[in-house]
Amino acid sequence: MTAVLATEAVAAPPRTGRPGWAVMWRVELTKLLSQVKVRAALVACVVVPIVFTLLESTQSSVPGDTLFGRWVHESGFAVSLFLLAFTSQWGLPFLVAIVSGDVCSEEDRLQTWPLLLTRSRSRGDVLAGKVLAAASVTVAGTMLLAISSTLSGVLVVGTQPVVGLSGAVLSSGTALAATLASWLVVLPPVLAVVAIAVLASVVSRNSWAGVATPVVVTLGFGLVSQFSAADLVRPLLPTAGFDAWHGLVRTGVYTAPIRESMFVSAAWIAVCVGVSAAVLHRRDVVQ
Amino acid sequence: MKARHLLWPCAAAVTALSMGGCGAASVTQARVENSVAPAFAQLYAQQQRLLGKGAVPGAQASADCHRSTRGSGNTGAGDDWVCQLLLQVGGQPSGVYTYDLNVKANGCYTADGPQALVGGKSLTTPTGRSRVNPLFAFDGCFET
Amino acid sequence: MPAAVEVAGVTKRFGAVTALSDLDLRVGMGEVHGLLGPNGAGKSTLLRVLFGLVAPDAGTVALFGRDLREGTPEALAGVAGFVDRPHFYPYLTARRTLELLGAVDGGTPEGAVDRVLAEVGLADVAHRRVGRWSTGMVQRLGIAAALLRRPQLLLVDEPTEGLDPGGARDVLALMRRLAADGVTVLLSSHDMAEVDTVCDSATILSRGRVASRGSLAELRRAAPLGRHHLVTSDDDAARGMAARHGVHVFAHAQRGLAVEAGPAEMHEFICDLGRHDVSVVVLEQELSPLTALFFELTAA
Repeated sequence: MTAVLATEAVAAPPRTGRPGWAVMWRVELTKLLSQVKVRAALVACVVVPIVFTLLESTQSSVPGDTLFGRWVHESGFAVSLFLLAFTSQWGLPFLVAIVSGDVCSEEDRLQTWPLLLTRSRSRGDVLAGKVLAAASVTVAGTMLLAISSTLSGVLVVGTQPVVGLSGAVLSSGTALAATLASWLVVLPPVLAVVAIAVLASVVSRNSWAGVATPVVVTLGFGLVSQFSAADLVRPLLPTAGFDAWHGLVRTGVYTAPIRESMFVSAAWIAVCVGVSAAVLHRRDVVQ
Repeated sequence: MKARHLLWPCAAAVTALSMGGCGAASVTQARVENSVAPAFAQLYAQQQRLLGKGAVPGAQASADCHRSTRGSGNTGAGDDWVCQLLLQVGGQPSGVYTYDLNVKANGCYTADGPQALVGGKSLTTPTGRSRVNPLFAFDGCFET
Repeated sequence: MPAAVEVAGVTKRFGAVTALSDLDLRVGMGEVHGLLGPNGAGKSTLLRVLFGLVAPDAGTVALFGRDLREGTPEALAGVAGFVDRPHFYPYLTARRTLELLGAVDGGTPEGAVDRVLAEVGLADVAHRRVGRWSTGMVQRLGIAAALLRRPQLLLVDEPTEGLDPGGARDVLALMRRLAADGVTVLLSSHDMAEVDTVCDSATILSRGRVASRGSLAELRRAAPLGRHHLVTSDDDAARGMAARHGVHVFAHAQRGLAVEAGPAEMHEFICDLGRHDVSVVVLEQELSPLTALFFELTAA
């Protein structure tokens, strides 16, 4: 009789409730936010803009090579836009690397794939949870950067009008809207780099490779993009999307680069996540 | 999960490829001129406002840009772009300003102006405040 | 009624190495089945195949009648355990780990985490990060993580590895309790004594193939003679008497004699020694019959 009961128990349908990817999203989010390096990265997203703004306000010189650098003493919006331009190259790829670069290779390093894969969740759900968690924490970090940059700029320097990229002066209201929109518009390429990081993490099975790849790839794409010979290739690289906001902070707004960036980023995300899923699905877990 | 799961990513890649710019170079003489000229005119008006000279009616500029490196064909990114800007105020020619441009492949440039004509890095307003001189150097971006 | 585990014709190659070769295995409902074999025999690979961690190149695998090849996660419903050692995230506490694993399972009843922690004796350290734990504690947490799923089929690889004798005894007692509740257990082990105390039946693997299988009683019947170490007051006389009892005697590597005999013959022989004024100084079993069977089947 015990055996009959046992059969019934195992023949019972699996638990209803939230879909597998949503469950794994929450689990992976908890894991990410429990890690010191992720918490430190999120804290840095808040603190670094504040420190920069305070330090810069005491200097007489202004940062040279980056857009809006020359205006950082004149408008708080310029501070935010300068930080956007600067972190697009030097901050966001590192944020992606720290948050997303180890998301799959961690399981290889700790030998914990069996822990996740022997509990009635499909490999697709497990990967989806990791991708969504890496994406949401990275987006949260970017938004923290945006809010901290804009608030510290506005509070320390002020809400003065700012000279836009067409030479015309933008009123405070227009500048605020353009600044916030610009930070939002940088999200699609950020998510594309997240997808590249996840792919590197899955394929390399190595934490160092997973973390280094988004930084190296972003810098490499940026380098290639500087050459006119790369004119055909540049719009296809996810890094082109980091410049899309230039069309917003001006009179005579143009949005074609933003639309292009969304398509290109979506393509990169689809390919990277698709390949990651295929690789993970076929892998023999033999740690 | 087999080959069909790669179908969507491939379709997306093909779509993106066909949308990507095919054809002309991103940095052309026309694009540089059409961006620098109106920017300069507006920044000139801004400078005059800061100096307390009031609004400048009908400030306009036309630009004549070329690359100083031989054989570059006046297209493409480079730090050797030179623009002659002809300023017109109220329909009257008001001056010629020569700017050196460093134009990047993504359509953004930095223009360095003639210090003797436009002034130094900062200017002083009538109230005594020191402000950034908008004509000393400016950044701009155009669509590629 | 389907068997708990039904493996037919499973083959798995890793490059040039054949880990499993045309392997069949059947574990009935409620059985406690031992999986024996030396290192490299394929025990861990077989367990990985059962968990869906590794896909076989050929053959079928079914758990409770559900074919694993369909790749649906439901195939693992009611199945729990671990392969090799369990590993956990060092930055999470034990409690957090079990809560997360419970969430992965789709939710656990109130107090389930506390219950399994108590059952494996980890309630006091549940708040500590797993990164600092000893092997034995990690092993117990692995069992707790398996129990959290209220399994009907427990697949465990060397469950007493890394545990002190007290801990090992507790784990084996737990296996017996689960078996009494109707849980099917498949445990792989090096230790014949362990298998002897807990299992109803066993499969011996050698080089990816089944070398022998059956209930423990059947295996004992098929087993060669066990071996004892015997030191007497007069080893030469003992040697002389051995032949009369059908007992095989040869010199022991350390001192005295090595004796291979069935239990009945051994009994007669020892009694006879006493009757001829030969006293026994040392008598200890070195190889149980099952262990001897193990070595014989898995040797070169």
